[in-house]
Amino acid sequence: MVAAVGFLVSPLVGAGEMTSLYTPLGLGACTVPPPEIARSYEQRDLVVEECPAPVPYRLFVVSSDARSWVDLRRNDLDWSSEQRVVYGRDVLALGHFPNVSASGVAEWRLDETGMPLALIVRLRLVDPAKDATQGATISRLLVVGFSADSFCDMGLAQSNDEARRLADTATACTATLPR
Amino acid sequence: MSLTKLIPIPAVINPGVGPARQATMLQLLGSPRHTYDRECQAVTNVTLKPHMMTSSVGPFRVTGFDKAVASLTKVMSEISVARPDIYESLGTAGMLCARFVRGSEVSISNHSWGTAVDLTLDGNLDQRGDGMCQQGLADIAPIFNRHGWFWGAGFRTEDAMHFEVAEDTIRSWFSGEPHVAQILSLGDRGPDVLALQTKLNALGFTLILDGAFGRGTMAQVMAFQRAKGLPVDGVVGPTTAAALGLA
Repeated sequence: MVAAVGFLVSPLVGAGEMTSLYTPLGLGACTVPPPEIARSYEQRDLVVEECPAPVPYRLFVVSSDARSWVDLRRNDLDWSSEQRVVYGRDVLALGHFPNVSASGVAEWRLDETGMPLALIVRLRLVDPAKDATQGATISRLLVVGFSADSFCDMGLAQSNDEARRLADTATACTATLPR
Repeated sequence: MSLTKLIPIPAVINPGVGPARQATMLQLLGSPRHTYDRECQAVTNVTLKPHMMTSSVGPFRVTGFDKAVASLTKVMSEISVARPDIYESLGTAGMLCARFVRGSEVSISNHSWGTAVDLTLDGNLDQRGDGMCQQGLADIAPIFNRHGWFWGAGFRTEDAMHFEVAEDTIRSWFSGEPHVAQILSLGDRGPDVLALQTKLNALGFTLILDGAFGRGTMAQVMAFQRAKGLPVDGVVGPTTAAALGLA
């Protein structure tokens, strides 16, 4: 079931088709999580915010000094995109200082019963090919798929349509995210 | 031996150098921006911005504070002679990123001034916080130290990919020189802000003397500017400083 308060759900386009639920990632929407969760990040000198997410998921935006990524929790099991976002060689080759876009939203792809099957989050990186004094950035969409017992890296996309195609295609799963 | 082989952080590192404190950076270089986001943004401080430069330092290109870029070029030159194998493998994961640490309203990334650089070896970024470091980073850390840079492996949570201009090095750059930060604005901290607040209170304003240029200080600077017929922007530049008797 999806907790719909404060969320935007795209109109159903037809029986059996995937729909999207949008949850905010902005300043006013994300809050400090309970102390037992915040402490585990503080011990690693990380800062964490919890952002709205559909039940049974919990969505955390985690920040080091200059980079940020999302962590997910479902039924007390945690998964982190840190390795993917911060250390992924394709991300490193793309740009510097990947960060979860603070002005954007998280897009959850839902099946016909309203269960989330994937998460799409926008990342912004400093463009190393341009004059960084001007603050030029590169944007990519991180796609994370959900299965019964794991979370899955489904790739990076350049457009919303491409991200949704990845999210809606189970075969796009390339690597399970570490817990 | 592989340069990216993981080894424990050496027992003795960073002899004679310490990390740059945020207060020092704000005092000597000023706040890179008036406002911050959770994403990397360009430096907008009109005094600091002309010091930002993009240049090759040898194995890669960076954008950063001019003195730091010049120093990094010398570091890379020494590495090219002492360890050409490492030099050929070096890349960067970034030098300049002006932003708040997400979730914090006060902590500015230490990449905000372009005086820190994150390094890769063979395209691999060292994992932060695992208590290990790439062999190649440990090998070149003493060279950085000799040039007055601090290695991030010495942070409470080790960050071996990270090298930054050390506290004393930053201070030495500005000893005997006028501070780069000749403009005070939202986000600035330090004795110059305290002097501003003291001056405003002497003129009848009611600021808490905390040395932090917050929204309250900005509002009262704007009130002062309005009363004096100055452009009302909440920034203490040369004209406002002169009107306050601070110049």
